[in-house]
Amino acid sequence: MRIIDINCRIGAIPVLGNQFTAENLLGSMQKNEVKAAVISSTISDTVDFMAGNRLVYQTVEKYAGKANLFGAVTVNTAFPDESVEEMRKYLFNERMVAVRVVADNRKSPLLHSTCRAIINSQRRYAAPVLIHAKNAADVEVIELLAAEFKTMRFIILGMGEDDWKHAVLAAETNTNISLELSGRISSDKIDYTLKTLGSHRLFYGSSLPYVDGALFKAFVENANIDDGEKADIFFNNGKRLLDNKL
Amino acid sequence: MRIIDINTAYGPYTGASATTGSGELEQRLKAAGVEKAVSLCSYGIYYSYRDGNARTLKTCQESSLLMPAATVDPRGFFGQKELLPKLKEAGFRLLRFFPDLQEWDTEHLVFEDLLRLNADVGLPVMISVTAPGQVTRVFRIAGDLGYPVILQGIGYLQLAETIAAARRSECFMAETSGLSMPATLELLSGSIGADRILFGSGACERSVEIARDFVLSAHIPDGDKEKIFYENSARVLGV
Repeated sequence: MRIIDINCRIGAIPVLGNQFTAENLLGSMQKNEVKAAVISSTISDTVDFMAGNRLVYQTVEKYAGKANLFGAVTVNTAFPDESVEEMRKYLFNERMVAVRVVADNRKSPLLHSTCRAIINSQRRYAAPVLIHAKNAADVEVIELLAAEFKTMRFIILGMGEDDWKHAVLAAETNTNISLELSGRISSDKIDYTLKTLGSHRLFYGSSLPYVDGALFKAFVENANIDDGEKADIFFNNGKRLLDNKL
Repeated sequence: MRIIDINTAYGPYTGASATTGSGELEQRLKAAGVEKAVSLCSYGIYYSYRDGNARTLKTCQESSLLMPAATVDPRGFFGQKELLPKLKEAGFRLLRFFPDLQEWDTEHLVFEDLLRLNADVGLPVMISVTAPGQVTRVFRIAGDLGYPVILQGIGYLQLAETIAAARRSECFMAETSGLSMPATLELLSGSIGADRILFGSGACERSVEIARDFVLSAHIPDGDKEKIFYENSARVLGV
């Protein structure tokens, strides 16, 4: 089955320092039948979102025409001015397909006020907004943003981790919220999500290199859902996100 | 008065801008009259100590003002015994630990391993201690290891613990950037002696001038201020 992964990264694995390069990513993609990926950088997660964006942009440019790598521009709520400039710099490129919001150095909670400032500037771009939610509190911030910016598309990365049901309910209330399934592996997570939302708003993401590329693939493959629903999660929803750029 | 600043950093999350660099740090230090400063790149704290140490070394090799501090994150150390000797050989003057920013506990066994491995290397160590009990835990490991242990970031709530540790071990010293309450420097100096207090500002994140003026305005003899600003760090760092 074909797969589009909307949540993976390149760069050094934080703390350990081992490099997970574009070549490593492509190897994992080949092994796991991933046809396309939306990438960001571990540098952006931890210390330097601007350096991470440079790496992502250089990578998608390098592999243009050779591999289906697309980029997400990371913006950081601690640095709104620089974040706006990063979006202006990169979102003109058709292979930079999304904006990813991180809060401070990723351990900080999302704050509505700081997210709002950046999202408000992002309105001029059509790119969907990817935001990792660590818990229910982060999901609530995304709900507030989605309710205010109704024409924008939000995708909750990690589904609120342990609070994934909260993320599902947030998406049920706000039709401009979709979910990316990495995070907690609960046996009833996919079933519950599809019963509540249908299969069109759940995206496949691997969380590479923090998680082995085969893990979430097996999670979907083993779910008690039909092949059409699996195809939506693995591929069709991601293809729509990429505006058929494959 | 000559000044060595033992606690500075540059890079993302050390200033208001995402691009706070070593150039900005040097400007601020020079404006405050600092002659030498020990510094490190924030990549070493938040991303990867290997990457960060390489960046720090390169920056400091190109600077007449900055001296390199290395850092090792215990969560990413797997017992390679050659690491600390190599850091010393490369020219690092200080080994720093950040349990609070990296969210690990000073009870961490690997942290203990690193402190014990350093006994054969002898790099001065500086540890951020901002929570109750941290000084005690560090003392229990490093109290008799024989190299300087600088407690960085102590506020008035860590003063008693710091003084107790310093009274038990001559190797224990205190850095000034966390002090802000009136009379705390006087209390510290009167308790453990000015010979064991080192000036640190916490720049770029914090103001060098305010940290400097806090020491300058303390009611202690000028000779003690000279020790705190310069002589103690010069001795510990081998300047």
